[in-house]
Order: sequence, then structure tokens, then C-alpha cells
Amino acid sequence: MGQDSGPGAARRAWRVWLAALVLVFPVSLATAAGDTDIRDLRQGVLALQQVRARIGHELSGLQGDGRLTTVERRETRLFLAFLLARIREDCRRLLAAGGGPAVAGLDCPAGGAALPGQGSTAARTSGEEVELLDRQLASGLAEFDDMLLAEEQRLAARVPRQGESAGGRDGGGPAGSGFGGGKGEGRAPGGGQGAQAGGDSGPAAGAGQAAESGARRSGTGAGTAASGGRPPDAGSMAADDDIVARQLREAAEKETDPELKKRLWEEYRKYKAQR
Amino acid sequence: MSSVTPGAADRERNRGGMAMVPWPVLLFLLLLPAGCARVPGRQVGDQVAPMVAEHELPESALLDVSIRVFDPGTLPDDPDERVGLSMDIREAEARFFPVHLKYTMQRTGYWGVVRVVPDDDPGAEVLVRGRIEYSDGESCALHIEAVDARNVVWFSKTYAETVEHPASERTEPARHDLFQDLFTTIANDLASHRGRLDAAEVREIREVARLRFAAAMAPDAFSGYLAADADGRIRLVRLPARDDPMLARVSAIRVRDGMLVDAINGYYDGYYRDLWEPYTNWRIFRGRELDTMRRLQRQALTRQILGIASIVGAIAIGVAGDSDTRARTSTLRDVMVMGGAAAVYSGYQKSRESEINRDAIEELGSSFSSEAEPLVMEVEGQTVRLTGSAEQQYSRWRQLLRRIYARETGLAGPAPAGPPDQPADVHRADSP
Repeated sequence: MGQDSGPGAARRAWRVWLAALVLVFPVSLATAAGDTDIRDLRQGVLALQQVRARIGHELSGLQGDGRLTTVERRETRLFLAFLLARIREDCRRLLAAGGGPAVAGLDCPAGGAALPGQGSTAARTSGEEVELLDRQLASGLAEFDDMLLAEEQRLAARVPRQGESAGGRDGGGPAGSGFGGGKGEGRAPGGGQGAQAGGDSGPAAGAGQAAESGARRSGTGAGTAASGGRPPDAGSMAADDDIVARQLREAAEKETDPELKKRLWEEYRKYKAQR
Repeated sequence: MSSVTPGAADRERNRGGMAMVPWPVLLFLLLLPAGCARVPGRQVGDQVAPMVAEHELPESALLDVSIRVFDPGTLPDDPDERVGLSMDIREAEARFFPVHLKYTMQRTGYWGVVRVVPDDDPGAEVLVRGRIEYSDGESCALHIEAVDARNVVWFSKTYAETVEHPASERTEPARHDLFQDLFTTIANDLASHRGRLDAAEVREIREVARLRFAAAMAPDAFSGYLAADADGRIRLVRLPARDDPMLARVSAIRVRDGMLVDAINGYYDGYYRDLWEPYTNWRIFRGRELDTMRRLQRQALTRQILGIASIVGAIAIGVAGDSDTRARTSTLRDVMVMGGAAAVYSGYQKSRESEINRDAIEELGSSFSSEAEPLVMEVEGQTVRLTGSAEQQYSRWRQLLRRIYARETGLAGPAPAGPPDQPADVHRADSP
């Protein structure tokens, strides 16, 4: 068999290269895009974890000083639960997009590790089966977290029958309307066992610690609001903020790390868009 | 602070002693019951200062407290004492009092998380149970028992307080109830008992609580870590490894359990806020009506006794004197009899007047009952909904934990455990 040469061979070679380019380029693009997504998701998870950790840290300083109102405590718990749910969701997406290496080094909540569609239990080793059962447990915990988050939202939306402002009565007549709020509570309720559980898994310990610490809601932090990636429409968007949106906005406004600030504003925008 | 059980025994003793006292004293004693609250009296101190931790306690020194919704008790047998009261009101108070005690304890700085729980909590480090012995808005008697995770009873006694003028008392939601001295005294007693524990005991309580919860969730894995004495005291037999994966799993569940109780407490807090105003007003208005009713009853009784005494005196003069005396005192005796009869009639009229107040008290009671009942139903409904769905989830987790344990150890565990609110599965130390 003779070797091809001349213009015919050159044309064939060019076609092969073209076909290869057509086949490979989208894959390369997709891979590049996938890498970018994974990197972006990882950064997002890290940013949210940092925010959660900082809230926990700040609040451990306030622990027991009794300066946290019931409403503040509840709102903060709601915010922490929201952050946990977001982290879990991003971990789940990371795991789906890049498998185990994509979440390596991230303290992903247990629910994020749960992947649907595991194989049958037949022919599995004991270790694999334990892993599968652990995933089912983690998935159940994640469902439970979602239920608690929904409950917190329901509680936050609950309209009291009596006024919540004003105080009681200084003698001399029946009580006026109102409730003074539960200031002065000791260690803020909320998953108090987290810190003492010692052997808690990542998500459990995280949820427990953060929820136990609660959060003292800060002011609006308007002083730093103008810089660091604040969306130009943040002011008008803030008008109908719910509790989570407000907490996100305040966290973003307070944030001094530009990268984190940017991430928080993105979370804020995403959250508002979803709403 | 003293503690008593308001009961019929003391009153019976008092009645037994009346034969020995002279009649002016007897008259005074007859008038006395209408002038002040008889049950249960004022036993806690006045203006009790709350015990507050002088400095912030480290996390390791804090014990979490679960206050179980109180037992509403029963209404008094005496119809006069139960006027305007109802079991609906008692049910409302059985959820209101624990929440206020929670707020009172949270301010002391001695405790970790203080929560109200609908039932006994197997993971409680300190469990406070209460029973309403008596409550009528101006008097309150609560029987309180505090027990730690080791089943060591800290104390079990009854606290009572009577507020003579509810309308003049300062009140502030979550901070100052009409019976604040009573709640502060209970909180102080709990803090005192906590103060007597050394660091090792606190550690033991926390460990036992953790393992009791673990044993309730995964008895196969954890029941062997605890043992109960013949007297029910639970002791640590050994500790699991720090990195025990089963403990990590159970701890993750325990955190969720705490968050669930927090959610339930959100509803209890809302309930407390909703009930605060109508409950406080009911107590104040009821107190006013009771004051008026007692004043009228006192006046009625005084007039009737004086009237009868006057008539008896007139008869005595007629019987004891000779004919000359009878003739000379005829007019006086007539005046005494007629005056006495008028006084008795006037007393009767006064007692009729007090019936109006009695009706008003009944009306206030039924009005408040109708306000409180839906609030109780709502909070109970939310509690049942949450605990019900949680219990389903816990049941699944228990099965998973059992299978995981069996896979990891190759041991087939005993029958599945009961629900987590059941007493923890612990070995009795004296059992084979």
C-alpha cells in the first residue's frame, strides 16, 4: 500500500484537524467553564463558611451577657440556618460537578455529601454499606435542617396577638399592651449542645456552635456601605428586605475583606432575585 | 424563704383550737378569714433579690436546664375558693409559669441554655418539673422538683406567694411577674444547688446527660456506658472514645434535637407574649373584685355578729335580772332587740351585695378562659405537630444507627429503642 501525498493528503489532514478541533474545542470550553464554576463555587462556600464562623466567634464573646433579645436571637438563628442551607446546596453542586476532589478541604455539611442514586446493597463491603447508611443519616439530618429552617421562617413571620413593643405596668392599673422582649438571657438558646458534643461531625458541630452562640444583630453599618462591591441598587432593594436579606445586607455592609464583601453582596442579590 | 404545703390540716388544727380561746378572740378569728387570703398565705420572702453570677461562668461550668410544662393540678374543692377559676385557666398557667421561670433563670448567668420542654427530656442536664398546687390570681403555690441527669433530686418543695394588691404591683413581661418573688426564690434555690456542685459533678452531669440521650437514640451502642443504682441514681460506667463515630452521629442528632426544642420554645415564647396582657389583667381585675367582695363580706359578718350579740344581750338582761331590773331596762332591751335585728338585716343586705362581685369574678374567669383556651390549643397544636414529625424522623435515625452499629461491630443489637422522650435505657448496677 502506497503512502498518500500531495494536495489530497493535505486536504485530508486539514479535515482531520478541523474535525478534531470541532470535537475537542467545546469539550475544552466546557472543561474550562466547569473548572471556573467549581472554583467559583468553592470560593463561595469558603466565603459563607467564613461568615458563619465569624458570627459564631463574635457571639461567643457576647455569650451570657444578656444583651440579646429574643427577636435578635431568632433572627440570627434563621440567618445561620440560611447560611448552612446555602453551604450545603453549594457543596452538593460541587460534589455533583467535580466529585470528591471538588469538596476536598471544605468543611461541607453532612447533607451536602449525600448523593442520590447509590447502588444496591448487594455485593458491598461492610465499610461501603456503613458509608451509605451514613449518607442516608446525613440526608435525613439535612432534611431535618430544612424543616427547622422552614419553622424558623414560620416563627419569624408569626404575628403576635398582642403588641410586642412597650413594657408592662408600673403598678396602679391593668397592663397595657405590649411585651418588653426577652433581653438579658444567659447563654443564647439554640443548639446549645453543639459545643459540648465534642465528637460532633462537621455540620453538627458547626450548626450547634453557631446556633448556640447566636448573633447580636448589629446596626446598619452604613459607614462602610458605599464601597466594596455594594450593588448600586442596594438601597432601593433594601426596602422590602426580609429577615435573611437584611442579615445578608448587614453582613455585607460590615464586611471589611473586599472579596468576602463581594461574595456577600452576590448572595444578597441572588437571594433577592429568588424571592 | 420557707416552704409549706397549703392544706386542710393546718386549718383543721386551727379549728380544733378555737374551743380554748375566749370569745372576743373567737369573734376576731371569725372576722379574720374574710379579710385575707387563706390559701396559701405568703411564704416566700418579700422583694427577694435575685442571685446573679458575679462573673461570667466558663462554658464548661454551665448546665443546661429543661423546664417541663407544669402539671396544672386540680381546682380547690371549696366552691368559694374555686369561684371564677377553671381548668382552662390552669392549663394556660401550666404553660405560662414555666416560660416566666425560664426568663427569670436566664438572667442569673448561672445556666447554659434554659428551655421549656413539653415532656421529660432524656438529654436534660437539669430537669425542672412543676405542679400548680394552688392559683387564683392573687395567690400561687407551686410544687417544684429539680433533678439532674444522674437522677439526683436537688430539691422538691412547694413555694407559695400571695399578692395582696395586684393592681399596685409593678409588672413587666419576661422580667417582673406579679409573683416575681416566687419565681426569683425558685431560681435562687436552683442557683444555690448549682453552686454546691464541684467541677467534677458538673462534668459528670453533662456526660451522663449526653450518654442518656445517646442511649435513647442508640441503645445497642450506648446503654452499657451507664448504670443505675438500686435507688435509681445513674452513674457513668465508662466513657466512649472521643472519636467514637457513633457518638459523633448521635451528637449531630442531639444538636438537631436542641434546635427542635428551640423552635418549640419559639412557640412557647409567642404564647407567653400573647397571654401576658389578658392574664395580667385578669389577675388584677379579679383581685379588685375579690377585695371588694371580702370587704363587703367582712362588713356583713360584723353587722350580723353585732346584731345577734345585741339581741342575745337584751335576752340575757331580761332573763338574768329581777322584775325591777326588767321594768327599768324594758326600753333598753327593746332598742337592743330592734337594733340587733336591723344590724342582722343590714348584714344580710351587705352579703347580697357581695354576690354581685362574686358574679363579676365568675364572669371575669369565663371571659379569660375563652381568651386563653385558643392560645393553649394553638401552642399545643404546634408542639404536637413538631414533636410528631420529629419523632418519625428520630425513629428512622434510630433504625439507621442500629444498622450502622451492627455493620461496624458485627453485633446484632437488641430490639429497637423506644422514643427519645422515654427514660434512657441504662443498666441497673445491681442487675446481673
